[in-house]
Amino acid sequence: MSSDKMTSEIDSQPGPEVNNSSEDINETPRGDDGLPKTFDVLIIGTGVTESILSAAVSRNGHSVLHLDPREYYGGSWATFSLDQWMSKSFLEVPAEATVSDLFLEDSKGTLTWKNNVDQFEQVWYMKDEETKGQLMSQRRRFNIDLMPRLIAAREDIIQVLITSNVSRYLEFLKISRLLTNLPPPNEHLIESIPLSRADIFTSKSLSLVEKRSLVKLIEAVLQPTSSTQDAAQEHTPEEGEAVSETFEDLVKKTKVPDKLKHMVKSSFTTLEDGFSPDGSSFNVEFCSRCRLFLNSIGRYGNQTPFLWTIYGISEICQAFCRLSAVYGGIFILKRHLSRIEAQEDGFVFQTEQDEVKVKHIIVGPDMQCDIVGKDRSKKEQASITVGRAVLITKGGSIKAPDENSKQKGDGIFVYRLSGMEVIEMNHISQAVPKDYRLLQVTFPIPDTEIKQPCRSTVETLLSPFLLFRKHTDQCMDDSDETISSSGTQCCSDDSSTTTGQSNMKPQVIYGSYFNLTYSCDSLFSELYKNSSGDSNSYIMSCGIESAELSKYVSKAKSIFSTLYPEEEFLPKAPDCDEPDAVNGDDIDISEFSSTNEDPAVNPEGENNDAAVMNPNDNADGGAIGEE
Amino acid sequence: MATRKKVLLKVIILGDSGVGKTSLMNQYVNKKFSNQYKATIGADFLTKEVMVDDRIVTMQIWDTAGQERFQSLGVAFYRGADCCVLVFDVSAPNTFKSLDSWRDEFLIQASPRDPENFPFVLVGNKVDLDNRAVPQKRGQQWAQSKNNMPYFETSAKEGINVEQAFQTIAKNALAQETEVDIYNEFPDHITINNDTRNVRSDNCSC
Repeated sequence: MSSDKMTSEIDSQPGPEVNNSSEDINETPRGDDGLPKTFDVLIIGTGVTESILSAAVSRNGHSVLHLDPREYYGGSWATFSLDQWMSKSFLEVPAEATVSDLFLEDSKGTLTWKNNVDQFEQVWYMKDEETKGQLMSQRRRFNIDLMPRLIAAREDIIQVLITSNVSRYLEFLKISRLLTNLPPPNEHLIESIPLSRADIFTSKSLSLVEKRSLVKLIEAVLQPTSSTQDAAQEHTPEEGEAVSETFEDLVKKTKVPDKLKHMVKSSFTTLEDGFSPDGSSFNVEFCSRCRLFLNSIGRYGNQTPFLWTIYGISEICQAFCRLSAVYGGIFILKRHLSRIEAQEDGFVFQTEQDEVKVKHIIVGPDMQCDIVGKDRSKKEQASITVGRAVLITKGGSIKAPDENSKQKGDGIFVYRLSGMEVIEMNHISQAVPKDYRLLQVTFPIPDTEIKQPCRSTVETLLSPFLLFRKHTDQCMDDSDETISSSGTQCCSDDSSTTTGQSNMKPQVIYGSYFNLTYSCDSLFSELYKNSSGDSNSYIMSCGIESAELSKYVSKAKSIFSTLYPEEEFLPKAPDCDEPDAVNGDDIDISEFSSTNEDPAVNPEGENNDAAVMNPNDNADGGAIGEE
Repeated sequence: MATRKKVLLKVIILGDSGVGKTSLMNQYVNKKFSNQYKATIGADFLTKEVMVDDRIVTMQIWDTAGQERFQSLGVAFYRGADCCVLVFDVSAPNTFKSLDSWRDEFLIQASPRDPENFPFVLVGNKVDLDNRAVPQKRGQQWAQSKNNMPYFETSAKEGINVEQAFQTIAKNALAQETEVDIYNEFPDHITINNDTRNVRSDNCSC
């Protein structure tokens, strides 16, 4: 893309040379390209785990060389504009960069790039040049995640962003609504999932009895954290008496009707749960995820537990990389190493001009490491595959927003539709230009199923809600207006949007479909330990066995503690120009609350609202702000 | 949106390594200059409050953090910029030749709403040096040819023209900001902040 041109023009430039007005005081020997000849850590790949590690290592004063053979940041966390997306740049692993040979003390091996995208297919549903042209003229306004991720407000990564101060580089949006379709035979009907006491009690789709049992269920799910916390901590947390109840137990105990059970399941289910057949995974882990979900509601004044990264998930990787760079980390994209050799006390590799020595090597999850000639029993290989679809639509939202969300909250809706997660974004997400919507569809493909193109599955399951074929009488106007002005009733009542009248469905203009596989050869991070020097040096892998968000963060922490057991993980980076940064949080809060004019995001109001679901949470309300 | 909202302007500084991007920023905000060149380490962004047409605006000036050295600036750096400062070294013709590609790169990566009228400012730095190689006229011509962008010749070392350059940057960035405000429908961005005080151990799963 653009950087090709950049490179050719700038490559001829001298590096950050010492010129006559300046004097290099850095004592590290440097090669011709200005690259120091030794580093503490070499990181290959810019996915989130590698990026967090890069920041953590660099932040503590260790030197980092961070490479990625691709021309963009993020690996499977990358975000693309529409033209990049259509050119399928993520499918191309640079040919010359697929394999690194490893020469170790007693063995040889390879590091190979894996391509985790498979069966990619794109379709123009509206083929006329005008529609295409209009869309393509705004191609740079798209930010399409290879793997979109909703982040619960109390997810580990949010904590890391806050404690490290990397959050200063990022902005988030609230997911404004969470919706689900009803179980068969009413699968064409969509309802909002109530997320606060107010939601529950004003909901017209729930009877009084249902409301009562829902509150009971929620209290039951939340209970272990609040009342039996002490007891649970003495055992291993998972074995605490109260926590051992499965979701099914709680459902039975609280006599929740089926419809509600479905709704609660849909709202709490993550991709992970989808890999087990319905029911069996609604276990203790599921309960703890429910708690994360419930505790996340209202944290940033949002109606749902989830946050969305503005401009796409790749921003998170780039934010950590920036922190690493600020502390001296050196970043080179489109660079790969063909040969890595173990030497005393570390590893050595060649760059175009020089030989560089590093102590440790960290490789991203996209790299498969094979070492032969050493007794290595093949460890259990874990892999999961998700079906993915990226759809661009016109003609409003799948579920026209009701009155309440007609306000500023109207932006990103998350649907759980027949086992698929559909994230529907309008332009406020900065992922799609105005008048269009971007639908990010994700669903699990169990191991037992043959991996086949997922287009027909998606089209079939979503056809009650979207128009995949062009209709002559289609309504291309934004249907939001029409529907919500006609109906003040709750969402369940305006079923006209989802039944019969096909002209009220959003029209799909473009769709792409693919499978994304996460695999991990070894559940252990340590690929190789070189103990020839005074201290051990390692090749570590960021491979993870699931797509669950918290796994990435804990992986980064565990690798960090192997390399630097004595050191603090990502202590707060001071704001370089704020002398009173220590008192920063006071300033933030007062500033935000005084400029906060919108009652909808008023932290106190919102938190009271959410207090039923989350009785502990009142203290945290200040932590939001307007841009 | 029209109420007394605090105006925050994001300004990014681009140009080849070693042209003095970090020095300019430091001279302007901290009135400091170090003669010792060190490929940028530790520079993140600096903020400064400035008066523009009776309005107090906060300028947030973003350094490349050295990521331009190997052409590895990610698109995140460019997001939401209100003004772009292009810097070259008047004693190094190569840095002048790169200006076109930096400008193109900015327009592609930042994809501003109105690329034709996006405020750029051109800065020719290191005028204190004796071995000047890019004549003032060439700088002016280039600036004129690119939609007449303002051109300043500065010395971050001596503090020459730095204040004036950034005043213009602030002014033009603000003009851009006001125009965008009309379209602003993006109210509820969340900045997750340092609420470490509120982190309770019972919620920390780590």
